[in-house]
Amino acid sequence: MNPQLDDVVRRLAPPAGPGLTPGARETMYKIMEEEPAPAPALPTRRRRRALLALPAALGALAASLAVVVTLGPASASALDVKDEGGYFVIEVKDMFAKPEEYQQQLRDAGLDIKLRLLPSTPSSVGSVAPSTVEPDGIEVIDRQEGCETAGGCPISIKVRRDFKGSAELVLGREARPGEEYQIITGFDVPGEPMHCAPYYNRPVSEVRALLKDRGVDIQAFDVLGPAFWTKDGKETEPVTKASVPESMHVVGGYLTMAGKAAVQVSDSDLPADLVRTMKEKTGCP
Amino acid sequence: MTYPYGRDDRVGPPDPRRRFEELYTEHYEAVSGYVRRRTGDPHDVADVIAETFTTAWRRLGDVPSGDRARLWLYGVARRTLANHRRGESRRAALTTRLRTELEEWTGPATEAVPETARAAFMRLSADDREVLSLVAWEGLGNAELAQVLGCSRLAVRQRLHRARKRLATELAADDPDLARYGPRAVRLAKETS
Repeated sequence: MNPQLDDVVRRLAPPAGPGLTPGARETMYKIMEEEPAPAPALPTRRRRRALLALPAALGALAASLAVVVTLGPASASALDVKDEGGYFVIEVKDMFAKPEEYQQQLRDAGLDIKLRLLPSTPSSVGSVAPSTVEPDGIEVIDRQEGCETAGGCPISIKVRRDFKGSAELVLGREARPGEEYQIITGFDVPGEPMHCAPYYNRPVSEVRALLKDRGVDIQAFDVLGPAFWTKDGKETEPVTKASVPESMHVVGGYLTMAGKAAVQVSDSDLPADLVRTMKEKTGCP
Repeated sequence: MTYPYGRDDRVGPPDPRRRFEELYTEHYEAVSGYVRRRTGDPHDVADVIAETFTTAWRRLGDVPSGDRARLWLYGVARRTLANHRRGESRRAALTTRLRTELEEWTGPATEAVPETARAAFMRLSADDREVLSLVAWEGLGNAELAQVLGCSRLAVRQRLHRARKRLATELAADDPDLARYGPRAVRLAKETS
């Protein structure tokens, strides 16, 4: 929380307008009369990847932004679109291209899909941003194991040829040097530097050394409140600090950019059963 | 004769018109406020509001219930605004009267704000401005922000922290007396420099 800064922004708010006027009601009736009736709800499918089911206790699951698109000149090389037996297989050739370049190429293929690639922690490169839902008819092709470090695996999606809806898709891409990640995953999931590292409930001093061995420095600490793994505990916002006592216990963390981590610390320990669950989910002994 | 149910009780899904009317009247003020604060031109405001609610009408089955509906509508309004080109009117037929009302509306006087603060805010990226505005103007908390922006709470916290940091830096650039924005702002600005 930052009341003073938020207050500066609050005072900049333009007025909100006149509210529900007669004209606004007229618009409501016109929408119902003049626009086609509602379509039935679209079936949606959640991603099944196990790592997404990690306890949210650590809040260490990731992210996307919605898409902002404006039209612009398109280059033909941003995507490679192939028509393969009832599907378009779309490979991202230039992961740093502008969203409108992707959109133009997809539109040329008759698809109303907005694609945006955001810098992401290694394990989420090439995946759909974890909290978003894959629209029915679109599938993100999972990258093979080892792609996190190889850097050479393509990012691809598969779209049913008869896909007629519109969709927005946010995928993780590699970050440029020094670029902050926008899709963030816990640093202990497969493909991340602390996968299977013995860090749960260890003091900051020890975890700092573990991270250093993996070429990662601590950039900040998120101090979590008591019982942070419970529903009520999660309501307490963590406090970000540049330093904390070296004796505080580490309960989680995530990379903020290449070689930099934010570490989640608390005065309370993560309960043993939750540690066990976390290890099982991440496939660690 | 007694009826086991009130006359209005219905079996099966509610009538789409009734559901839409409830959705519209309950959330119109929030949605129109969101749009109005982000674009000044009455024609654009009317058009984006109409487009947002037209999307809600067409996708009524996808609109979540309760307060999540408001957040869903913010998300739609946000994307509609991003795709809307100034002066372009796609929904003019739906908004004849609304446009006139918005044109004639004179709002309350706004608070006096130092011009340097406005300039500092405007120097931020659109993404930073949006996340800060959703907190300060729409009063959203982190969980709600996560829903509107389609990302995790963790990512929201990061975005918010970074945006505040950059705002503190911008404020400091114009105003060496940053202390009046609070010790946190000073600390944030120092963290960046």
